[in-house]
Amino acid sequence: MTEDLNKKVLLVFLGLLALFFVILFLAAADFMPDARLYPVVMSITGFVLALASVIRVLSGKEPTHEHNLIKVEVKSDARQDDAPADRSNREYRSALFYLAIICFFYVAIWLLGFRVATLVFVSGFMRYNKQSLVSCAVYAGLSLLLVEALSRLLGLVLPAGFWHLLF
Amino acid sequence: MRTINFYFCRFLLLAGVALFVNITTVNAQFYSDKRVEVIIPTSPGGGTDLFARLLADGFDEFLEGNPTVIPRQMTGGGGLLAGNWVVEQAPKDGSILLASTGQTTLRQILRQRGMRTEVSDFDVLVAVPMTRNVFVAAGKGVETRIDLPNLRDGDGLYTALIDPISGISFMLQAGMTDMALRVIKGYEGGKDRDLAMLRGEIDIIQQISLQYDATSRLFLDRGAIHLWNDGLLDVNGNIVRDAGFPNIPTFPEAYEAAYGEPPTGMLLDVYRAIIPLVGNAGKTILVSSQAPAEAKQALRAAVVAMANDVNYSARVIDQNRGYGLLYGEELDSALTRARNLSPEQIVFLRSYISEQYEIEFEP
Amino acid sequence: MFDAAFTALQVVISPEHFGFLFLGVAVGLFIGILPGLGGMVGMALLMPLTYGMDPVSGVAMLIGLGSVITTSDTFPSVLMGIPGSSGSQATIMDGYPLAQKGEGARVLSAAFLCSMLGGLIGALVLSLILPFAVPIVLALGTPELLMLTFLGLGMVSVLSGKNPVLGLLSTALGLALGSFGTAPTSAIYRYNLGTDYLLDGFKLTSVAIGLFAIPEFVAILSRGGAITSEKRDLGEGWMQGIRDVVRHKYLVIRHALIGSMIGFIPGLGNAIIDWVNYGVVIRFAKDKSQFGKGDIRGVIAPESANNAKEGGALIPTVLFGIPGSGSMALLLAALIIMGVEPGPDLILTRADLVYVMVWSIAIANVLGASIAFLLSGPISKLAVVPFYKIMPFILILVTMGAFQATRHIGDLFTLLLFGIVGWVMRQTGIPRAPLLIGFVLSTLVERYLWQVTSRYQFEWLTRPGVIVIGVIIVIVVGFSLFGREHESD
Repeated sequence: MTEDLNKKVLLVFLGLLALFFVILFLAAADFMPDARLYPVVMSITGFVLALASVIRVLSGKEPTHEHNLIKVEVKSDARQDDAPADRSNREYRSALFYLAIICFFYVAIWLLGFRVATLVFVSGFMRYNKQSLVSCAVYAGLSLLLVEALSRLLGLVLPAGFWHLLF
Repeated sequence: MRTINFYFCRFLLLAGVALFVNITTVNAQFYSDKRVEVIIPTSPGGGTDLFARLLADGFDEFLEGNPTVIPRQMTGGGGLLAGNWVVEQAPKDGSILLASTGQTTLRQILRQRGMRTEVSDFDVLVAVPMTRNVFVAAGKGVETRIDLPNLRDGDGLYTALIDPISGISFMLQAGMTDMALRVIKGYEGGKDRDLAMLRGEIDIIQQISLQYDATSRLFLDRGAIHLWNDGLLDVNGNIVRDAGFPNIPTFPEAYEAAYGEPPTGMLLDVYRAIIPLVGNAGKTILVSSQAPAEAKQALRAAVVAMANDVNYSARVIDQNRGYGLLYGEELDSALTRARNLSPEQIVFLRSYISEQYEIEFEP
Repeated sequence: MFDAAFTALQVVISPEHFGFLFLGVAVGLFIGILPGLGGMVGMALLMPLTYGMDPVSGVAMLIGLGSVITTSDTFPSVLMGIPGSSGSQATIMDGYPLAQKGEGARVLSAAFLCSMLGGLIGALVLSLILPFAVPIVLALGTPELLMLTFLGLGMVSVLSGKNPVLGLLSTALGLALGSFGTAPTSAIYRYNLGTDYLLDGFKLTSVAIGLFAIPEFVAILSRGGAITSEKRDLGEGWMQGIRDVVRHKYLVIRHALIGSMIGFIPGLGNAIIDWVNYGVVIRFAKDKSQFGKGDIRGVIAPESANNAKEGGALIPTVLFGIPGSGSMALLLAALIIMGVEPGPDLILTRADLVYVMVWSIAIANVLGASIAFLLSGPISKLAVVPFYKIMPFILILVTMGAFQATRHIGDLFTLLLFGIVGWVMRQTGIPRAPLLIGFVLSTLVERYLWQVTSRYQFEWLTRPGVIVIGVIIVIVVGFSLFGREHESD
């Protein structure tokens, strides 16, 4: 069920947050007194709140669906005939896949520079969405044009990658 | 899929070739068709920013080969970020200049933690002097400068310190006069402190001379006393008045008038040693010491051209309250004097600062 | 005074100066549309032109630019759920759900009209308040500023919906993340993980875009389809948006006034303006059920306020030289370069210039809103295009924008990190707005707490200003908690 999956993810996330606050607390021990006070107070507060949230979730007091202010009911283009649980699992997997694509894009920017990474990313992404090779090339060209035009027009600086190591 | 790979390879190749051509193009005039960036390590609107923009404009106009010179902000870590970037990552082809301050040099000499640059990493191209004024609010027991000893007694004066090295001359002055200070930490910048002074939240303030017209007068309107100016070190090693403030005593003068004898001791020695650094060459433009000799030559020639241009030097003098660009031999001699803090003085200064304010130095 | 104002108007509408004003407005609108790019980039772009320019033209151009960014940044906020600039985060909360329901046209027309009215009211407030501005700013001491940051934090209670604990946790996370980088009270660095990038902590642009934009991209892509799934004709909502504004005219005036007042407060305005207004509109609304799901009042309030703010924000900038934002800092630098020394007596010595600023804000807002109206037809069609076709371009724009914060690759990794965190939070129902508010206010809270306690110990609690703001906090926070209990009964 969606709710179960969301609940599991929520619990894992809360656990990670609690751990994060513990690490912040421990790392703050090395700071000098004036600089230490605020992070120590914040990390203890955060840890307590994370634990409280875990307890509330486990005791069923936190509703784990339909309470995000920004959440909206929208009809999906996805197939409507399969069970909600399947659809939700599929959406989770596909979401993770898209997150991975964005990760890949950023690592590519870092290594290859913005322009090359843009070409790789756009053509790859459009190809994945089953576009013809021609339209992939058109998209890639357009995106590079956009990048060039904006960076020149607005004087933006873009990551150059590690090409200089090769030459 | 194979076609796509082929396209990618071609794109990669083209991109690579374009990059290569860019790097290896060499023209007769060193800077023709190049792009030069002046890195500004502070936020927009402050003294260093204005100075850097003025000089960027100067290089844009006077650098041979007519390159495009643009100022670029790179703030963070009190200037550490920009300095480290220029030394460790930026190209060393003369295309990157760095606006800096005497305080940054002092941080290098004292080896503040996080600072991975050294004085020898840079060549100083040009500098302008920068002094600081100290004002005390009305009603704090100081009617005239003669009343200075009164500041030792009482509950103490509230003052604001952004960080101990940027306010180093004031810290030393406070030490010499032995005034009772209650330091409030956490102010963000000079303007923030000015407002605190106008609101009556702090009683004594040090302010850079560039701010005089804008806000110092407001302190005076509210009855504040202009106690002294840092002063500058002349060629004979004497602390003399800032030409922009001919009627305001230097700190040693004010001290002598109030106490009947000139200040002495280690604090004064250190004070005399840091004044050329934070005062005479207070704001500087640097280039990596590894930049090609032709680049340095062209940059230095541009500075001479700026100084000799009537209109440009008028702009500089107008912005700097009467002081023009410091360059060439005059700059070299100021820098030599500025960098001769003795090992004992360095040790003393490090412990003096960290006793009063949280700061970390490399061992 | 009226003479000066009238002369300034004649100057501004003379063809030469108007041309520069128009240039500023055009650049401002363009930059506002691009997600992640704010006034700072625009000012940096136009600033070199101001060398040797006469101050009136330069001021008209830069103010024109600054005034309309919060008009056009509504496009990405409403159509894509991406904060167009830091001033339009709260517009997402209701504007985006409405656009998803196919009411993009209605939201945009309401937002532009509010922006214009807000801007005009802001200009009016600025001109009325100018003679008293100096004493008012000086009366706001650090204790009052601290209380105002608490008021900003208090908005969290309104935004946390039915999950007060998760809302507080989100705030605490924001406050903790805000403590990364240079400590405000010491010359040392906290949690920089050995990298130079974190010497100054995480950057707001990357954090905001990461939290809101990346999760939205992922969600829409994995759902499939376009941003709005209902293929409605976008044209029909235009009049509805205008009718909404007419119906809620008092709301527009109220939030424009709040906006100009908050903009006025040095160092604080920009960071919390839209959230405070969003919180206030929810707090005082009778029917709260539709907020967050698409209530037009949730768009009207922040949009009226964020344009009105620009007038107020000029006061600390030109009278005290304290810029409330990066773009104001560049405006300040440009003023000094053009030979105008900011200071409290500017209103006496250069009244002409000050009124040029007021008129520039007013005219720019009318111009900006009109142009945005014309553009919104074509731009809002984006909402019905299959998302995978536009996503690459938007991701590229967002990434370029985020990278301008420090031009360090760390900006992109921050964006990614907060994108993942934001996606998990979106998925599990932890409210994201409180994290952002905590993050933005973190340094201010620490800074002001130190200053207040070391300067006043405990006596600050008895200051009249502190008590007044304290009462307001109790009303907003206390009653919203009480109201919720009541509602759930």
